[in-house]
Amino acid sequence: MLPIARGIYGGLVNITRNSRGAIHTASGFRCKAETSTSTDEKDAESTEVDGDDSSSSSAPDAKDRSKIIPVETSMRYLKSAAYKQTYGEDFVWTQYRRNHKGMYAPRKTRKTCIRQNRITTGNPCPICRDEYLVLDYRNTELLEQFISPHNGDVLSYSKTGLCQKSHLRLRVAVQQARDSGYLTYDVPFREYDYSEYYGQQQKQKA
Amino acid sequence: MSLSPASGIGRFYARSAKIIRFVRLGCTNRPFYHIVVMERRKNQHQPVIEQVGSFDPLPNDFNERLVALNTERIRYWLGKGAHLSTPAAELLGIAGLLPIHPRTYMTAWRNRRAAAEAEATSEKAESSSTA
Amino acid sequence: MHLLKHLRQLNGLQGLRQAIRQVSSAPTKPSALQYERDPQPLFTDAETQRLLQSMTQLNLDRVYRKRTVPDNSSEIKFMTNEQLDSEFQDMVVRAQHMLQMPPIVEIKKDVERVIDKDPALKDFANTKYVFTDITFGRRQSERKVFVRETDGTLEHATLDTTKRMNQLYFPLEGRQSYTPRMFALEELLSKCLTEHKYEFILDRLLVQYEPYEAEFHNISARVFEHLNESKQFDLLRSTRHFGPMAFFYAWHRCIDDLLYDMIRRDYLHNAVELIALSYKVHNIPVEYEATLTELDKLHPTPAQTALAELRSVFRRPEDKQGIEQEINTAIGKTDQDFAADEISLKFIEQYIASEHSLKKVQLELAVQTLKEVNREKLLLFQGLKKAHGVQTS
Repeated sequence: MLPIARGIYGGLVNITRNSRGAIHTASGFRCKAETSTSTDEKDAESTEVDGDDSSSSSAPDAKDRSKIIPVETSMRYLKSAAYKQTYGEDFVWTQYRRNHKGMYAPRKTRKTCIRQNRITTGNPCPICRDEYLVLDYRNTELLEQFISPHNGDVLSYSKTGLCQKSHLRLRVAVQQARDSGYLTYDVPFREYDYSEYYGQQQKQKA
Repeated sequence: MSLSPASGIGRFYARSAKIIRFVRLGCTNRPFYHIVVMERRKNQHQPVIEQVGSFDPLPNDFNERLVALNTERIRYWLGKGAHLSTPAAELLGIAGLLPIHPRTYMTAWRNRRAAAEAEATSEKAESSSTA
Repeated sequence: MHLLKHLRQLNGLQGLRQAIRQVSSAPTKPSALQYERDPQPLFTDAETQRLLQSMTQLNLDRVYRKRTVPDNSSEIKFMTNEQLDSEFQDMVVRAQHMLQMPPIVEIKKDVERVIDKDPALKDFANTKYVFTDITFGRRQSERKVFVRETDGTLEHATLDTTKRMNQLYFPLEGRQSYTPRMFALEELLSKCLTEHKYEFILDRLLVQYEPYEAEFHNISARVFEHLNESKQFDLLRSTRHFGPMAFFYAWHRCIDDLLYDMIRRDYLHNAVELIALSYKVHNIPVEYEATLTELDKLHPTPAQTALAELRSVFRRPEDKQGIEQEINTAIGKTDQDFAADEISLKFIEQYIASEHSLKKVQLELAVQTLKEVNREKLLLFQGLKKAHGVQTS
């Protein structure tokens, strides 16, 4: 098994018996063992957020996605040690593998991983599996991972493995981010025909 | 039917009657017209000789109707003796390319009369309700 | 709980509506510094252009940096030395083209030009008609757009409408039909500025706006002002925006920060040109042409330096370099450079002593440190020459 898959599996197993503090995919589980300061802070916060949830039901649902995570939390998560522990230097999608029958994967990825606020698949896409990855135009650090360094396009879902719904949200977020100047891109070169702007003046002089 | 290029693919006889007219494109409840040159006897959805403009009859966000005219080619075809359909002639008249079409004056006059009548009736209704 | 949710939704909607209003009405506040008279004749002047181009410099690595364009393919070819040389020359010419400065012109005002008034045509339709001439082969600036108002007047369209129609029928790549949020919302623009995305803002500005529009002037002035405070001038060096920036500072008498930056980076030649430009813009009776011509003799133009750098591949390693050249590369300066430095330092000091400079202490300090470094270099240079027995010409 790939390390990340193992990590996630471990995290999910842990969740079933432990509190929901460990839900950011494996990170909580592994970080607890190593006890780094920033992860502690992260855990404390997430348990605090989940406080009322866990008190009401004894075994929180690992596949539940009804809680909306604010973008600010996601942006902090991307900078945290917990994130680093989970993904290392890789992009969030590099370690993901699609499950499929036969040699070739279906041309399109699945329509969505989350139905009625629950994960309805055993192998959710890189964005859906980690609920602290929020696609938003302000979350530039996450968006940059999905942009090709060669031609500046959004990477295809056949490469990243995103489900169709996440992919659409990603494209919208990238467009918004570019429009509002959060992401920079190479603007097409504009050539000026000087005579269009200066021409008449020179004629008057001559 | 797919669109033909603006340069046109229609075959025509050199001495046949040509006409500058609208071709209704767009779809149900969303008219959009191409202003084209074609043989007079042909159906509007036949291949055209040349497209010389477009006309969007539905007002946009700024409350304006957009017309694009390739004036150079329009003048060329008029010089060749092309006919004009009435709506096209009206539009060219409004654009100031040709004298204003009499029908435009008629519509304007009718619109004004209708507006005046509506005002009069509303005034009458108001005065009767107050009295 | 339910009600709270509703309230939140409403709040969100209000925020959105505000944003929309901002988008439509107020595209960024006007900047304090404006060109009060037409800057175009001064800007297009041949000498000004030469000065600005020289100040911009030509760093091929920066001009030909990797761009995220759809086609990024490269080609590998076998070439003779002559072919390679001609390719190099082409490359420099193309680079100069990439550094084409955007025009600086006055803000154009809308003039109402009525062609025809026909009162009998009143109420012929309930909306106005906009006619665009799409005749093949016209340029954007000479494309005619007319409006027939509902009251029967036929007139030339406003600049705004003309631009909109041009964009609709002949779209310019990269230009949006709406105001990008970056330019529409004040906080987004200031965020970009604090992150030093100057080149991106200016590139986008060029594509989005025409040089004669008020927004173009406002936003570029704001960028240059911010740049003057953050002093990151090197970000724009060797881009097409450096010339307009220098011109802007010269026009508004705030060249001192840029001058300080140039002296600190040992671009004395450029510093002299900047001072000369400000003298020229404000008609200050100081003789600068003699110094400039003297310096030009000693200094190659940016295109020449770039070409020389490219041609250095022709030098084979087994070729014996002259000892003199070796010394030059070790020190980074030649005899000519030292001579040029002396002339330019004299000119700069003259400027600092005059009443035109505002940050005298800072500039003097920079000049002093530079002088010391130069003196040491010169001593080393002469010492090396003596040791190797090279004759000083």
